[in-house]
Amino acid sequence: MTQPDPSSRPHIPAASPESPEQGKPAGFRYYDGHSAQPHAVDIRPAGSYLQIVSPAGASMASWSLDSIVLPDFMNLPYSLIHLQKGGQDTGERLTVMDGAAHDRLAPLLLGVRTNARRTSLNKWLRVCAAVWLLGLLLWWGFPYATDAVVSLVPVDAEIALGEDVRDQVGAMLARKNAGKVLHCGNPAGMAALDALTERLSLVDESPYPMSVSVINSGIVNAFAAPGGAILVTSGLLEETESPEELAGILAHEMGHVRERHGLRSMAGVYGLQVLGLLFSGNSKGVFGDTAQGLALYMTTSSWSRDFERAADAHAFTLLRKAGLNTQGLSTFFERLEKDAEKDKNLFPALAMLSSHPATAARIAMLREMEQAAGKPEYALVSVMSAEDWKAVQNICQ
Amino acid sequence: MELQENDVLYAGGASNGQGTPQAAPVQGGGFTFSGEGRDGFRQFVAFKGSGWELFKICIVNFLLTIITLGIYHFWAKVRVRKYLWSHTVVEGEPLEYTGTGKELFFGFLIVAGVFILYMVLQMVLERIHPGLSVLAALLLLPFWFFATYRAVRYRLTRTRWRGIRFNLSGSAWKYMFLALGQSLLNLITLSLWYPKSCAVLRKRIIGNIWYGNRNFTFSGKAAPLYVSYLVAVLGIIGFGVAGFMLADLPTAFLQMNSNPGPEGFKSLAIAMGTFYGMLILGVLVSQWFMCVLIRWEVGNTGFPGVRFRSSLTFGRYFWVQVSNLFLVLLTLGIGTPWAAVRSLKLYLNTLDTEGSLDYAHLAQDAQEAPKFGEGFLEAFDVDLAV
Repeated sequence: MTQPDPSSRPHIPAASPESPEQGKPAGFRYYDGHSAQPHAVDIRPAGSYLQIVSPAGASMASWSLDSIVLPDFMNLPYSLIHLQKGGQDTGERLTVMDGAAHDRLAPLLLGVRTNARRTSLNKWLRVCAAVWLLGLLLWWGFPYATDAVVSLVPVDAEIALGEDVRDQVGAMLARKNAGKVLHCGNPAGMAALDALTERLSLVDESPYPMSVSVINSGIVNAFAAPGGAILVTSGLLEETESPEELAGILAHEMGHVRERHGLRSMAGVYGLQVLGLLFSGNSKGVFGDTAQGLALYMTTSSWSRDFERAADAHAFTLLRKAGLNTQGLSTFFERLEKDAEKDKNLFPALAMLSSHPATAARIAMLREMEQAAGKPEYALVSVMSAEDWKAVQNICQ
Repeated sequence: MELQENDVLYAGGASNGQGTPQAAPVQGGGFTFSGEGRDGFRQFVAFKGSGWELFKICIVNFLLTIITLGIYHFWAKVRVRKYLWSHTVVEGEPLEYTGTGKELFFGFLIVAGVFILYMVLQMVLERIHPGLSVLAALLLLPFWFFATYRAVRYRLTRTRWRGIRFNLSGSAWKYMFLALGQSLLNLITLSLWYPKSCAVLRKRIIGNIWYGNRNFTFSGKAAPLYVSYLVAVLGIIGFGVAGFMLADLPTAFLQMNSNPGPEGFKSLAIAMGTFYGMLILGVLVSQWFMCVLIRWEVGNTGFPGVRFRSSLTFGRYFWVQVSNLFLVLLTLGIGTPWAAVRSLKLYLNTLDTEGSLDYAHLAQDAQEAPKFGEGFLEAFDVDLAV
């Protein structure tokens, strides 16, 4: 490599297409990595080297073929990069200006091209394998990781968080009159509800104090916030036809509380978002958002199906222990399904079904449990008196 | 412009080696410069990328990002940049991007760490008092300024032209405080300070940009911007107020609700038409100012031996912006690569220059780019989604 000397550059002609008498320029420009000064040059193959020569024929540089890096895109004009022994960039460049120059250079670089392709393919295969391994590990390990995090959360904190969640959700869903939330809770109804909750709690052996509140809303849904705060909509109370059904639903929600499903799914979603942020960068754009949203939905809905199944099983055991009729929950599901079939546009019912596993499968599971458990050892007690049931149904008046 | 006695330019055609400017267009590197056609100025940059090629890159990137569970994202970014840089041909010679996906990945890990800390802080503050989380949000602003400066430095140190590196000197912390001060002044003066803050911040960034051992300069003053700025602001306010005054939308909606029919529909249509018409006029004015700002920015940027100018016209600018918007919206985002190429052509191909660079004395800066003692912090290259 020659050192540039700006004071004497006799070998650089004023090469331009306008001066054809000096011969056509070869279409290469050489930069020595020290200055931005272009040198009109020509190339000459020399075994495993590429020689860069001045128009006068003097050698300006000699690049070993395996020290040449091709640019990612070889649209003209493009520049070849020259590396040092250790792989460091020398700053030297050879710019290929036109098609004729490219045609002369390309055959010399065939080997370089194949090599580069092979190395990058190898690298990618290894990286892909590593990434998939990591992904699988995460897929299996993630639920355990979130459970570990959740088990660190003290019960007090969970209860406080749950109350926040309950108030927020309640305010969001409730009917409003001139901006004021309409409350439900006539004393007789609330007393009956609390008595039922108390009865179930006694056999639940749960560390959480259960409290049920009713939201004034047309939506048919029940909701368990972390820490024992259970929400039931008035729409749900209208939809249920017997106290047994209500007892089943309450026991189901208590299952969610006991297994800390609320906290677990919150931690899971939060963790997934952080992971998604880590992995995808913050790729804004249609593609990135859709892919991420889809992945999040698929993962969380698969968890929630597991959670629902667990809560159903819990509900069954709880009702059995309390000596109550265990068929309420399945009766309720059956009617919901019938309603949905009757009127596919019945949004409230569909809203409840959406994140829940196929209702038919849940009914079948409950029936199976019923059969496996056999006849109850004790005579069933009634859930509540007809009078109390009436008060519960009119709880919003 | 003094030309060096033996200054040979192979592209640009500003000199034929004898120091006399050439009038005729000169073939340089396979494309024609318009010589000295534009009153001494000639086209400086030619963007040669194509939307179709960029689209193909984006599609492959998208698929690879999916099968690598997102990790490829960083390498995808590098590939797009390599394409854009290498198709930006400056005076016959392409730019070169030398950043790597690995650098971006590690840079992102650092930022992600900061981000997680930030989220935890926000949660803690929110638990103490709901109002306190605003405090955490306020912390994001200085961080954003800091990161912007770092990102500019990262990109410049990873850009080469004719084998020579760019660089950004100066401290990101100082820039952060400067930018914070300017935002505060904008807040206090209800944005009347804006042109001045443009001048101050541009001067700080552009004045610290280096190509090899030479420094860019920025001589922009706020005064010439003020007239356009005030016209634009008054225009936006005027059209906004006119939109609300002339188009009584609430009444029209009420009327439509109370007696729906052709009558109500007509008055609603007129109200909507007036409102959106005024909105479009307001946008037009703001776009006009953006165009003025770009010309001011480019025109006041200097480099030893050369001057720059942007020949961007408002008509062209506005047309490209509007057509790009439709191009992206109507294709549901598929047209984004084409829109990007069109924007780049708009900005870059209108860059003109006058004079000639002293190539022989433009030497590589002795300082190696990553040796700023900040390790991967250099790769602070993120488009933060705040």
